Amino acid sequence: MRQTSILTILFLLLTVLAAQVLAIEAGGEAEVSYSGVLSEAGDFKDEFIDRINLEFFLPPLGNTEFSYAFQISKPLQDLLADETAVYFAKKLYLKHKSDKIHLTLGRQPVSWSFGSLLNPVDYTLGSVALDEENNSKYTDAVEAYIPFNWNSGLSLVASFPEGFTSKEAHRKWGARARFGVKGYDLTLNYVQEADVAGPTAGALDEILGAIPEKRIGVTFKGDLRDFGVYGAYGHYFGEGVKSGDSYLLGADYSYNLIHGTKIIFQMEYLGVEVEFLEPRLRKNLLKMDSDDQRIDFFIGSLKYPLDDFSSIALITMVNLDDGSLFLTPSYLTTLPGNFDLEIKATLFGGKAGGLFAPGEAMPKAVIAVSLRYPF
Amino acid sequence: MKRSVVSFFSLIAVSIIANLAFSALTAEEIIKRRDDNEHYDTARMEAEMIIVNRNRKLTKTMTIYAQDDNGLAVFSNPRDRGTKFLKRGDDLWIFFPEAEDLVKISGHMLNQGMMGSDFSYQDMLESDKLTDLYRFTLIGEENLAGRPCYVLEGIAREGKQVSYYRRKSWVDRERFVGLKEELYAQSGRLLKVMTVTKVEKLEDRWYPMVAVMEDKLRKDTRTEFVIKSIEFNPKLPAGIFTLENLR
Repeated sequence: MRQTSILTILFLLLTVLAAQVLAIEAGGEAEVSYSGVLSEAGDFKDEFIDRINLEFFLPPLGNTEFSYAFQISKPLQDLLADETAVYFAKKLYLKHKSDKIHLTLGRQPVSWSFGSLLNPVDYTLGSVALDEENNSKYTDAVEAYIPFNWNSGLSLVASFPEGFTSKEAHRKWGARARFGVKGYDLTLNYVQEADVAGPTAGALDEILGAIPEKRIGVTFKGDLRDFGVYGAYGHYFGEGVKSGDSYLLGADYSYNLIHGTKIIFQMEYLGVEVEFLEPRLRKNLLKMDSDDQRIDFFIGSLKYPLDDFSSIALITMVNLDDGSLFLTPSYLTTLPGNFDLEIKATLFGGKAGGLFAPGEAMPKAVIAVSLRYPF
Repeated sequence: MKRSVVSFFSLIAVSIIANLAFSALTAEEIIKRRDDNEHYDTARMEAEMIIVNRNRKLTKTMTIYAQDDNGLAVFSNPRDRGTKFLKRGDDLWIFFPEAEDLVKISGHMLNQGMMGSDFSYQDMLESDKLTDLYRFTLIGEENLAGRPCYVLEGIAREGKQVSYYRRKSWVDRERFVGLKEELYAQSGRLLKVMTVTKVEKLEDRWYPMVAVMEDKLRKDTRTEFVIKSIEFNPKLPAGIFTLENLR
């Protein structure tokens, strides 16, 4: 177990030395965080996590770039406590660029964000949500990007959730066309999921696993006077399953407050037709009445910079059907020495039986404190 | 006799004034000469942005490419390494290096401080000629930090999208480089003051190398913009101001 961490430390030291000798740039972030979950019954479970992210910045070789980035979780706990460090390659790819096509082969992030807080038509659903990202967007894939003009192009992706394989059923693929039209960013996309069983660690995974295997999506983002406006429509379908639709509409705005600081608002509505979910799952996972086929959410975010080094933010998600919600206030500051300190809490509320109400599935509160150092 | 003496002195006075007027420059000529120094068709610069708040400092380093109202900033300091901003006309895009994703930023953000600084995205990523954006009048002459300066007032030209409706500029009389700018909203409120603290002669032109921007609506904050090196009118790679180049 400790071998991983010792090797990691040796590797990091060698990297620093090699970077100086070979003019390879390396950088990343070290993070320690403490989080705790308070259940409805009053139990408090806490966890300490340390993490290192490292990326190499190699000079391109002609039109070809090589990228390598990885994350090691719990290296300190591996050394000091009875924990196992976990290595995860985020990027390990070759990218070849020519005027007509960019080809990327290997482990890479595939993310189809367009500026919303939730993205119901992303390549990997749930990989980016409420300004948080997870590792599910990193996938073994081949991507071809064909530019049409300065702000338009087509991305074709074939990815392999269980590693590179020739089995067609184990291949996920997608296409995304992006167009700039009169100041608006428009995208059309299609995804066909691979026929592999995903993780079912929680309700979200179970819901994601029940979504039909194919989806088409349309998104837009642009300006309407002083507001940024955006939206998305998704249609989920497959053989032998009921289809469903999603609708998202959002806006962002900034307002001048005292001392010239601006408060930034972002709010959106997301409605999802979930007829494809069995009534049992609708009831158990989404806490819907068994005859309801649509679930509606309001998502909002407020950000306010206190000064050049600190900001506060508030994110909320409300289930409009049962009134349950969660609120996530956070405080982020850059400390002397270039450390970032973030303090975050999430509070759950609503009537018993509500989707976000404290109970079996949801805790009362979650707190997290993290200290990060970019290098 | 008395009348002829008065006429004689009047004639001399008129000729002196006329002479002075002909030898002095008009506001347009002053700004044009300043534009000749400070404007470029294309540029590539290595720069540092130092955000100062009371006793604390945060330094960001970047490479900037600019052409007319198009600009590209690529950050290289550890915290922001790989983050890119592309401004093309009124469109602003950000590239997130972690997710390698591109998102269009809403137009209302253009006047916001770039990466938390006192310089807006608009301030940083455009190089339009001032004469194209503002109509200037000469309102006086003053000494500024030991340098004789023309003082001009510029009002935004009709139909031009500018961040500041009015600007008061102090232009060095000998080097024709802006040494100070007061930037006002249409309401008359002073928004920002930019002071140039270092000027260098590069390729036969004087150019401001260090500028300090103070946002007058904020307390105890300023941003220093330090140009480490600049190349005027380089041949920029084709397609540099495109989304495909950000990826």
